[in-house]
Amino acid sequence: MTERRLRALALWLVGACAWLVPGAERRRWRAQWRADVWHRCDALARAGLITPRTARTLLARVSGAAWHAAWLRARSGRGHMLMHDFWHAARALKARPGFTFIAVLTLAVGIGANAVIFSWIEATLLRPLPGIRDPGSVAALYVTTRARDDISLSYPNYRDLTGQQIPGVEGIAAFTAGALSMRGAAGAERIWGAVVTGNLFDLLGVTAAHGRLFTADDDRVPDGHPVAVLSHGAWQRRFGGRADIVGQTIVLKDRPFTVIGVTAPAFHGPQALIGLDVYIPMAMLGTFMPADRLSVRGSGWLSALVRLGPEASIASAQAGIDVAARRLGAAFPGPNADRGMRLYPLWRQPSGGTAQLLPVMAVLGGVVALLLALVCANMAGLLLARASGRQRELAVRVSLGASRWQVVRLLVAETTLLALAAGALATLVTVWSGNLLYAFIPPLAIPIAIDAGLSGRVLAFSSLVSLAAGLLLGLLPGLQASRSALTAPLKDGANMGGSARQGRMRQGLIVAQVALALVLLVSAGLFLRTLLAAERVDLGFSARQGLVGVLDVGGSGADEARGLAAYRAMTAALAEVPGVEAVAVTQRLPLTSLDSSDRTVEVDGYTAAAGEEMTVYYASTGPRLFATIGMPIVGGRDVSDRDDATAPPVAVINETMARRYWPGRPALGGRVKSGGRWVEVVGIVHDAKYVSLSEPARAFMYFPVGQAYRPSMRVVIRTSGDPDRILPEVRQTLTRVAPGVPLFDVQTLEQHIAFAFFLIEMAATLLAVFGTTAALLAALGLYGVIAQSVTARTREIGVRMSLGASAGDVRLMVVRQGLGLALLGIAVGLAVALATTRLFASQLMSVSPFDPASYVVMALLLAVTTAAACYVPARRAARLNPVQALRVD
Amino acid sequence: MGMPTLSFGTVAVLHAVAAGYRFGFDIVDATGLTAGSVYPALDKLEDLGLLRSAWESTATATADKRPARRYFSLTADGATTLAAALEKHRTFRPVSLDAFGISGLLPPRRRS
Repeated sequence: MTERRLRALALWLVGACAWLVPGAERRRWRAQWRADVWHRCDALARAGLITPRTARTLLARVSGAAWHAAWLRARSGRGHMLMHDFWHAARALKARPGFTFIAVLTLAVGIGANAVIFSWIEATLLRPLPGIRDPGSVAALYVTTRARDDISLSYPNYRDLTGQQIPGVEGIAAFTAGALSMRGAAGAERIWGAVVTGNLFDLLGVTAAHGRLFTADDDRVPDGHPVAVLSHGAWQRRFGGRADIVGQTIVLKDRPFTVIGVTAPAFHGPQALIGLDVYIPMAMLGTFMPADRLSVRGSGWLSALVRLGPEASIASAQAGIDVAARRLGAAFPGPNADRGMRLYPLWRQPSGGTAQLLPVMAVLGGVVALLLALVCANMAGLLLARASGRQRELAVRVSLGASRWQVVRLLVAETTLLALAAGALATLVTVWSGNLLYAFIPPLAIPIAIDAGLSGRVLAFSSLVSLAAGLLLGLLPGLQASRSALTAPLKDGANMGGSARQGRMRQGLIVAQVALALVLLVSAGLFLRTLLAAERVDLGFSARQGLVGVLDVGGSGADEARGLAAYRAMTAALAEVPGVEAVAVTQRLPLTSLDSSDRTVEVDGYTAAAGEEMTVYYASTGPRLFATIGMPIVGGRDVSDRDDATAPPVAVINETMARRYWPGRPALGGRVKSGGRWVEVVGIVHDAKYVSLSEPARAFMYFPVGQAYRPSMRVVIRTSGDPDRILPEVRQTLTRVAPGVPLFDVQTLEQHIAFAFFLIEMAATLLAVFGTTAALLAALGLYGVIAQSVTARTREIGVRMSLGASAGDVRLMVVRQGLGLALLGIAVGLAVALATTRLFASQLMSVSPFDPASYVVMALLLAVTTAAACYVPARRAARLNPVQALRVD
Repeated sequence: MGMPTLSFGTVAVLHAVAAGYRFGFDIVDATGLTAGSVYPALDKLEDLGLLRSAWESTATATADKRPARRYFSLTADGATTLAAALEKHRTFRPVSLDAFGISGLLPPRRRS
């Protein structure tokens, strides 16, 4: 915990207690506590003593503020009635520590699960771009066609859009993010950055922590503004937070850039969930990629962000954007024909991290809501049982003149206290929720920036949920108990087991709990089956052991000819390293999410149907990629080193592309027009999963690197043994063959593949945990009801046994009663699951939402668990001594 | 003025202030009591006229970029009361366990 966060939390706690203090003393009280907390935080930070232990001590001390406040309130003698209720409730709870402990723990599980998932949703979807001004009026802009809605914007179209007045739109900024190499004292480093239009920071309202940020004047003359802005994180990590950073020079891709400023700490970058380190004005694009991109209207590569006008909504601005898009289509019918543009709220962008997280978070959110409902049903049962045990106490209160409302208020005060205590516990857990989320994310080449944890909104959410749960839980048994308290006679032995009405209510609650548990278990089962199916999916390549990294030959200043030579030399040298089975370079490996390129093609002899998209995904590749990653060549040949600029242009396509565009004809020898030239198909390879496991089959083309040069490529090395063991030798070989070309973003092939599985794994793991918790809670609830009913029926059981019922008969009788409820719950749960699981059908892979195995196995599992829960009280009933049982009052 | 009866904890707080611990958290540290008992005790002692409180000079606080703290000091009555209370506690002797026929330490408390 940082000092800032600790102090904020401590001061918040102080503020939360302030309402208790009598008005006349509140100012002084608050000033005293604030100053003491502030001073202690400063002192701890100065001594470098902010550890989890000292933080806990401080927070425990701050909790004394509540006592101090309560004491002042009591001293003032003007204690509110509500205070009195809470005081009384606290005493009542303290008198039953066992019950209070169980109740707080149960509620904390329900509220905690909700708080954690909410903190994730808050950090990923509600606050995708932290550190910007008024994020609600920022939208993302995408180009759409009839079939797709996630196409990036081209630079000429961007310029034309910003050149016109669009109603409802205040401004448009654009950027493209990627990895760059930065030359430092210790050699080249890989750094993630973005090339941004000059107005981006201004449009987003990002402030500078040091120096200044770009303005439109930093983005006017092509190649004329070698200036850079650093992120706060990069300034701290890479430059030690030195105060004289403004004016320093950094070398990016062999080119010196002057640092003019540092962004505010909260800002991660303009791309959701990704943390960028450096920003360069768009005018300098030519340093990093071919600058002719800036003039090609048909090539979309920019992410665009729109600031809506002060009164505008996304819908009203969309009308203006539609007009602008039509105008662009009319002016440049070639690349813009049949294309539209669409605005999205930041959390609902069709591509990128939020697009992948949204459905998973929606499922998790729904699941924890169900879990909370189950916890509440469980607690309601517990409270009903307790209320029936307290009837005599309540009856005494009523007979002494308490109104029904006062009795209800007392019970509500108790449950609210319980829920608030549970809420506090749950809120504490969210301090680590960010770590929990990161625990699921495998090591990645992309810098993920998700600031999940305890925030004001998370605090407000869990307070609200706790309060609602507390009120709800108190009202139901409160009304119930007060009704019977008014009518129940005070005589001994009356109603000790609860009224029939309460019994029915508790049974109903049990049925609800079992049903909810089954819905959760079935969902968990479906996701586990999906995970199993995902592990069996044909990824399209068989290699599993190896290394993946990035080679940036352009970063060392090599031109195309030298770059190609370097790729050839490096792959040849690496192939000689002991333990290496095969090596290749490629622009993109299969299963590379968050990064895909597509282009529109023409196919010789194939006429596109009206409105048909002729887009294919592509990658530039060196020879032997298919052999290295174990991707079968179905026909023709691999690309080779002889496919260079002087040879006729060729390409290798995948099976889907061959089937789609050459139906019933041989694709080998066919011709495709791509990027303005005709290329010949010389090979066909097996399909693969290119971005995600669940994607539909895509048409894919591989161009030889000799004819589609890239200054930076991924290298993939298949190894015979542990890839980490040969990594040092790989690095040595590279420094020997190509000094100045370091290997970046090294991952094992396994880690690379793992990323594609992480969301499914996370969903399956969490659902399994929630489902198990739900089943256990339902079983506990059932146990409670049956155990109480055995106690209530002691005399009846005694009679039965003395009339000849055997221990087995009694056991059976009790188990039957419990199982009846459980089976009813299972039946209801099956019906509800059948109706609801289809809501997340799109998240399942090769499993139908009606998958019978998941339903049957989970129903059986739940039946066995609940039967076990009934068996314990049943055994106790069977062991009753009939003589003693008959003596029970 | 009649001598007020002070609890052991309250005397500890008074003693800590007399010993030069002037701020809430420092007194908590010095006495080992919880903040929930020290802060009310301070208010109570001020009501009784045994302590007086004032605010730190704003100059000191502003220099440290934090709000000014409330500090406590002993009054003349406080000093007298403390001396008397300490004297009383000095003559205080634990109940002899022998009177109950138990020798040595009390047995751990058992739940009835």
